[in-house]
Amino acid sequence: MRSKTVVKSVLITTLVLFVILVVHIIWVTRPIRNNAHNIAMARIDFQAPLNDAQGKAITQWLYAQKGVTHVLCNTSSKIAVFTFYPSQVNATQLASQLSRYMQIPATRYLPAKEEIENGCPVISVSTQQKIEQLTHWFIHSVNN
Amino acid sequence: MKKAKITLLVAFLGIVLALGSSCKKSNSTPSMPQTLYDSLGGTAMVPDPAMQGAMIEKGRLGIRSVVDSAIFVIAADTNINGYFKVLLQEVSSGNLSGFNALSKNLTDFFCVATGAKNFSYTGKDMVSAHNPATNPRMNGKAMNDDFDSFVADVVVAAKKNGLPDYLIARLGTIINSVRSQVVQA
Repeated sequence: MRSKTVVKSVLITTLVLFVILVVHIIWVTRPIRNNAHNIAMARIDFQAPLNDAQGKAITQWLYAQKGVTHVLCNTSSKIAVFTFYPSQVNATQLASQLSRYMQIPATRYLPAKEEIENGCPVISVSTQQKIEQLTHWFIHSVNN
Repeated sequence: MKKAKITLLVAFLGIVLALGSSCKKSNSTPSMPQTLYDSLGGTAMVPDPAMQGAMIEKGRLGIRSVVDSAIFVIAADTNINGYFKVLLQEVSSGNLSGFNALSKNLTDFFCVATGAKNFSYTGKDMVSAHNPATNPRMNGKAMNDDFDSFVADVVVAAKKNGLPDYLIARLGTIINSVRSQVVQA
């Protein structure tokens, strides 16, 4: 009688774990819909002076890439910034492709973890905001 | 006698007209000055171009458009982009990107500052947010020059979005009203 109960418990536990595994796999492999919540920004620093024509060419080339949503090239600071969907395009690869296309040395600027941690005062959020963000993220994850 | 009657009638009509005009004045509600948020479209709902199927207040959309453009201008502005490196943080593990978080936070702040009623800013107050002692993310006290660069970048962004000069001037006044709280050096 006792061994039957043990077998039954093991079976139920295994079944529950299996269901959790299936739900997890579906969750992590679900297609992510591109929207404002999963957009990212990247910055490309050019190591040579840029003129207006080059600025326009950089802007046009970036806009032509799939997954790039908005571009701004500041020729005086030799910086191009753009937003993109990470699920569609790799910004680091894009930076090296752009460098080759323009024949100007350029690298993608990636801040270190420490730089991000003491970077932006506006991002410093209150507990209430953290809860709001978590709720917001959860609702959008469910919707997507 | 006739002259006295006419005088009396004229005096009566004068009193009636005076009372009428004074009543008219007291009944009319004083016109409230339009807030900047209202000037940008206010609470009228319009489709949100960034989120398919969602609606957004026109005033908020206007503010967000300027904020998003300003973020681009700031990210490429070497005078102050050091403060905004978090922008370049990518989306990972379901977290909102730095871009989206900054856009939302600044949009909330400007919506409230320009007169929106349906939104609230839940971030730190301007003094605490820009004081390295109370905000470890602030890696130094902001200078007047930094603030000038910020204002200039927002103006560039507002112009890119076709905001007329008189609205840009009002926006500039609102931003400048927090200068003393932000600049603590």
